[in-house]
Amino acid sequence: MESPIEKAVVLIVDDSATMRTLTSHVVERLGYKPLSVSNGDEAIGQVTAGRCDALLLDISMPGKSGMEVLRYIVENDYRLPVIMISGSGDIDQAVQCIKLGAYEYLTKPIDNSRLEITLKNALSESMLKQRVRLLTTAMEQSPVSVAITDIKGRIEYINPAFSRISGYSMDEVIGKKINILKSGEHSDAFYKNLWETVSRGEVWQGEFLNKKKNGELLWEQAVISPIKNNKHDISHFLALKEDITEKKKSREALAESEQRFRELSDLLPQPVFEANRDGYVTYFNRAGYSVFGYKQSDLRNGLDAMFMYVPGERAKVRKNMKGRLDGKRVENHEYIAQRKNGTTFPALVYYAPILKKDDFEGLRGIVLDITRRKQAEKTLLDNQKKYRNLFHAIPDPVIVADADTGAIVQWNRRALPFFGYKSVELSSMMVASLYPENIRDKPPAFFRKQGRKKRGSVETKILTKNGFLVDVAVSSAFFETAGQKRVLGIFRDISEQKKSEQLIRENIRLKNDFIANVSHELRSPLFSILGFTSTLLRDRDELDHETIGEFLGIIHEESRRLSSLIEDVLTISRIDSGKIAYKKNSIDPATIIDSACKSLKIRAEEKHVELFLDLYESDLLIYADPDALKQVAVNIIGNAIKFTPEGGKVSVTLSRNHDTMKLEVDDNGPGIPEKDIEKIFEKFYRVERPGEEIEGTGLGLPIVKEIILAHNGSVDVKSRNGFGSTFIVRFPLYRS
Amino acid sequence: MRQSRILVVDDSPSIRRLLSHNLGKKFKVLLAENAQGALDLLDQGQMPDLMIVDVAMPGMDGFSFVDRIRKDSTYNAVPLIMLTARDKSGDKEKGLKLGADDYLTKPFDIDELGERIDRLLA
Repeated sequence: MESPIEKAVVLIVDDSATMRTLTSHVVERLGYKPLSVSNGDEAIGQVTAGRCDALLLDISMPGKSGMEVLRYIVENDYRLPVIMISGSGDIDQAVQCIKLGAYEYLTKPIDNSRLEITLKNALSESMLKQRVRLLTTAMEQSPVSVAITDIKGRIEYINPAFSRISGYSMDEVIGKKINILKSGEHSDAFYKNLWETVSRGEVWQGEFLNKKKNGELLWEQAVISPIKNNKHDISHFLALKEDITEKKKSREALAESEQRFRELSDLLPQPVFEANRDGYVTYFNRAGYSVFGYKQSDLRNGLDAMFMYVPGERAKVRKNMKGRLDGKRVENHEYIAQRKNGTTFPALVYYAPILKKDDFEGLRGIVLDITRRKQAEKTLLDNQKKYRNLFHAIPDPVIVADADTGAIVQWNRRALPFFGYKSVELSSMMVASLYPENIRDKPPAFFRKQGRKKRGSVETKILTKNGFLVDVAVSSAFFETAGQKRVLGIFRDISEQKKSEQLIRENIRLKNDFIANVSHELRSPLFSILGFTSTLLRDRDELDHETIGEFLGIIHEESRRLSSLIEDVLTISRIDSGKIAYKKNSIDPATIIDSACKSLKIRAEEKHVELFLDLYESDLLIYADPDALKQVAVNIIGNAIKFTPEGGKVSVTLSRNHDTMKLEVDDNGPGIPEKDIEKIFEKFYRVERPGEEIEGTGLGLPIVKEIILAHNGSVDVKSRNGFGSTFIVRFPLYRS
Repeated sequence: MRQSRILVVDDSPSIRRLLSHNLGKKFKVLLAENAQGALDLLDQGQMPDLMIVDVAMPGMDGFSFVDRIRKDSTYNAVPLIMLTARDKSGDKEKGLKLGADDYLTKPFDIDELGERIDRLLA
């Protein structure tokens, strides 16, 4: 126990109550606290309880003597100043007491002033000893290396930590100069500065690189203070040193990793930032500065991290940050970022809290400029829209199907009316069901090129919902979208094309036949004419008058045939080129038809066909070209005579029916086969009759039809194969 | 020397007349206006030394007639010239294949026909 001297407890041990009272008074007057007991055992009890700082111990007491108490105190190392009080003044006894460890030996009667000095000294000394003991213990236990040198740097004291750290034992260094630790890594100026500092009486602080006994280097953080023995004179130096080698290593490692982090983050093309808990930016990597346009001075002056966003985004940023700190997932990291100069860009900003021992220190984040991605997305969207519009604008039906399953997945507008299905129906159909059943088993044309992943086009037929077969050319293309294999087919309706191709082929055939026919028809009369003229030229002197007349008649007749044939060909070619001009007038059809029949009558008679005429309907007037009407009559009646076998009959009847003139030509010939009725008015078409070849150009009826149409009339045919034909021509009546 | 007999089968009266006049100077000319008429003449026992047959005729055409004649052992050796006004490729080959000995396309020179006849009768 330690108390200030003034409050020190002095234990008075005496068997005389008078002495105890007197001494207590004196001790109290001296400013101490007296505590008295009457025997040795009680005294030991107080000592072991630690209730006193010094003892006034009477030597001669009944029971345990003062000497025994002293011995107990010393032997048990209580370190209390004990002042022995004796009544005898025996010198031997006094010597024995001092030897045993008593502080002083006083004889009765006690001189008060002597007691005062003795107590004061004893207590001071005891306290000092105790302090030294404590400090020494502290020194010895301290992990800090301690060395004390004299003013010349010779070591006077080192603590165990010094030995442990440096490897030198106390014996090895006491009296040696402290510079045995010098590593040689510091300059002379460094040491000079150190010594000058401490020699001036100031404290030096710094880091040493020192050398251990075993040569190992170690870093030490040192505080070197001068110790003065009075106000001016320095007697010693105290060096307190801490081994910071490990600390320094980890500090270096930290610095290194920090540098690595800075360099790495500077390499990043994306801005990286850190913000403290007040929301100010504390760090930008190189890209951070360059992208946002801030300078380091801006950060030093305080840059609110919110300035990295446009004002309108800041509420969202705060909300997301708060959510992030609360451990929620942030779904949308997309913001409009703002540069120092006010320009903006779309960005993804990812951040994480900076935590130190679970305390929130700030945020760290990375900014991804997504301008290009946004542009690409927009372009993509625009393109998608463009393609969708294009898709639907294609005038042909388009079907897109899954290439693996054949399920229809997409179609354009045109496909709906073309196939006749509704969207809901198409969406659950297979592409094969767009084809007629007989080709469904084979891979439909739609897929044929799919295996080769190439474009292709095939002609095939499709089946509409209503059961119509349509000729189509299918162009197909293979493509992939979002990992799905697709095949696209564009269906072009080629039924019209097919029809016209067929028509063209038919026309070519008819034209070839026509040419063959015409050449035949031209050659026959020409041959007669040539033959007879050359005969006449050669034989004219031998021939009689009659024969010459006969031959000339034949030549004339053949020339006429040739002429009318040429006329037909010219007429049809005029009709073909649209160059015909009718000279229309109000005319009496009966007269025209009658005159047409005059030449036909001769032909009928030659062929032994009866020709009946009933043209006596009066007062008929039509508005027509007389030559054209005559040609109509000649061609139709001429045909009737031509196709009617010998002994047959042809009737021609003209009548009026309301506002219409009606010309009926009826024969009892073989009739026209059903399949040919529609075609007989087509150019060059000739009804084929097996085993028979009837003269003609195939132009008579086409000319008739053309003329009648040009006069707003009509022509109808009734025929039963084998039972004759009836042609009915109608012309509107003329109204003045 | 017996006058050679030539049968002309042609539906055109003017050609029949032309040939009868020109060939008549040298030969005896038999005329038929169609194939059936010609067959009737042959059936009556008229045996020609040469036949001139037009291809394009109503009723049985020239090809059918030639085919029929050539399949008849009585007439298959009679020289036969086909006449045509048609210019269809293949007609000539068809005629020769069926058994015609010569083939002429209208218009031709009457003298040319005479030369061909002489060649076949020689």
